[in-house]
Amino acid sequence: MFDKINKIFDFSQNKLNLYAKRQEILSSNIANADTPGYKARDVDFKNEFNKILNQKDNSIPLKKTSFKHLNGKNNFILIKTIPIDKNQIKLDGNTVNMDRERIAFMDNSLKYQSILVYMKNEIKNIMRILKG
Amino acid sequence: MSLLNIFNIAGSAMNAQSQKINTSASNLANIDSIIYKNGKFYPYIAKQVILEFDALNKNSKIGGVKVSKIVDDPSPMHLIYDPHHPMADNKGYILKSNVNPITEMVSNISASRNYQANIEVLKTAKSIILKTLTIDE
Repeated sequence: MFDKINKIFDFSQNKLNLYAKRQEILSSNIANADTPGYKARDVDFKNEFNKILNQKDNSIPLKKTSFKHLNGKNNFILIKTIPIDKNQIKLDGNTVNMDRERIAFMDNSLKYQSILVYMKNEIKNIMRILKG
Repeated sequence: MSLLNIFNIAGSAMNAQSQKINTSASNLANIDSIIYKNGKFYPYIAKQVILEFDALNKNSKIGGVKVSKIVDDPSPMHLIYDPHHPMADNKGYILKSNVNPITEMVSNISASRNYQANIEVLKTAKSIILKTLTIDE
């Protein structure tokens, strides 16, 4: 049973992780809007999303930090970042476009919250069934 | 959890930007100041903050900002003809500080806008984390 619940939440969990990571990257871009030589980065969303979709193994991800631990499947997805290719206008080598970053930041936070709402409803449904 | 890293990133940026505001305030305030060093008088030299990328951990491509150093502005001093000034040389010229009020105001505005942008980032991150924590309500 818990395996099934895990399966229900697995996809949402991975997407939440991806959005949280992207939020971090965007905040790094905004923070470095004034740093000479900083190159703005972003996640290759299509690529990362395909990685989540093609993940076959649905076992609970466990991290092994000691040799005494049981063998769990280590299926944490490594998220890659790529530099954004945009014609830069600043002389100091900085490629942050503040407008793009702000809009992406807002957009990303709303998407994150929409998954939260979806998960909330999922939990509500499970609770409804459990209570009868 | 990567959302918590946002606090470090935005916090470091706010720190760096407030240091910039501080420096430009100090430059503006000292536009007429004179420094006494080694038995001689010198005009105040404008200071500039150099920002540097500060990676979260060793191989990370993302991270916050840190102040790498505070350097003297390399632009030349102003030479002004004022023969009645007590510090004038035998030709009647005095050296004046190289602080440019326009540059300082612009950098002040830019730094404070950046500061505000980072506050917005912090607010968003906080509200997202709070919403994630109350997912089961």
